[in-house]
Amino acid sequence: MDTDRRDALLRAMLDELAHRGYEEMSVERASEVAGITAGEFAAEYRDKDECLFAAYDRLTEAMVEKASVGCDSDEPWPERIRSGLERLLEEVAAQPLMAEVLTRAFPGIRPAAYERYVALLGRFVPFMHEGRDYSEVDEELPGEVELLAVGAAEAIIFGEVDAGRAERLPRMMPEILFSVLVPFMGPDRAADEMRSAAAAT
Amino acid sequence: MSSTDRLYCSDADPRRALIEAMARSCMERGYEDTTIDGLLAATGLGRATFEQWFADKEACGLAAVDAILAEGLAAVFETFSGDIAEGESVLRGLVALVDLFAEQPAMASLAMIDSRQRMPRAAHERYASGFAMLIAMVDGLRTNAGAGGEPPPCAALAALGGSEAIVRREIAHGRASALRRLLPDLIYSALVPFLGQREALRIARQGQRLAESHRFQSESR
Repeated sequence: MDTDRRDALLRAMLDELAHRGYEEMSVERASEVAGITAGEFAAEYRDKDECLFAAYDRLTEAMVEKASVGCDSDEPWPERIRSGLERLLEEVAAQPLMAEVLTRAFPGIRPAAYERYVALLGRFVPFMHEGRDYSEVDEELPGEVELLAVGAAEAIIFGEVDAGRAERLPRMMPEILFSVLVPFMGPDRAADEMRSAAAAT
Repeated sequence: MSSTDRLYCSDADPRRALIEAMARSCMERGYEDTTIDGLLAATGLGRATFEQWFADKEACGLAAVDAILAEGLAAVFETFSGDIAEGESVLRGLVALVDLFAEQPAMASLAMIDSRQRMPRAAHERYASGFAMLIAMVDGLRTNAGAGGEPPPCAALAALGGSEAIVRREIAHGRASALRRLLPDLIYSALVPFLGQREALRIARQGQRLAESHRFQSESR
């Protein structure tokens, strides 16, 4: 199966999950939408779950790739975080149904699926390491401060997606940026970055 | 009697036994794959007893969520006192929650993971209402905000969200009993947007001392 057809199948599986839920979704319908025969599906995937997990992995990979564009640039770390956050929020707002699959429909299937969601949050932790260099205190910050920052953004994003308000997220970028930066920079400098981001939008 | 043993004391409190069986089943196999027959097998109770207390699986699940939320909020509010600083109140509240979750990991999983993302929407509404009270408590710290200006409206939600991400990860990996060692991180996350880094770290160090004293007490038994 070539990449384009596989991607079409994986997308169709996620659409099925989004519209019908795990119990009611149909591999046959997804295959038909993607133009995949039963034989081709069976040659590629053992069952519904294997295909669905592959689809979720593809979705999360795309999300992380989108957020990490330019992460190697020479811009200061807070600005790289702001840019990545902007791209992530725009992506979530542009695809609210997939955002719901990402945060609720898929993780809710069973514990193994939820572990994928936990792992997704962990993928953003390395982007935060550099924030420790921006601390305004000499004392070392707590060991999990990177995940604290990721979790802070997740709480807001999850809430808006779950409430059907994903389209608001790009406008909320400055205040989400505050919450991501504040464990590293303290409230005063995080507020400066928030105001700077608000002025730029 | 340990929290594990309590699961099997169905005669003493069948409703509680069913709730705990629901929590354990959700943690082990997820809400979708949890069945009434499975709960009955775990508790040794009959269907008539189940139907005496609950209309269906969802009703049992919601009752379990209500139970742990009530216990969690009670544990937090028991520590609240007008005689101590607000940051100290948050510390004590987090210690109380962490200890509750360590004692009842399956119920912790139900509260923090299942109700939020793996159960029907009604469960999430329960979770959100409980969480809103904690957010309000933390948000009360914004009167302490410094000259840099007030944190944004979502700061308390985000601060607790950071702590929650850590707690959920540990619960998902079966490490709820060791949450106390992460108290400094949880406390820091909740306080830093409102009290600043220095004060948040100072109170987090108190959490560190609490975590270490608990380990000392456990090892000396």
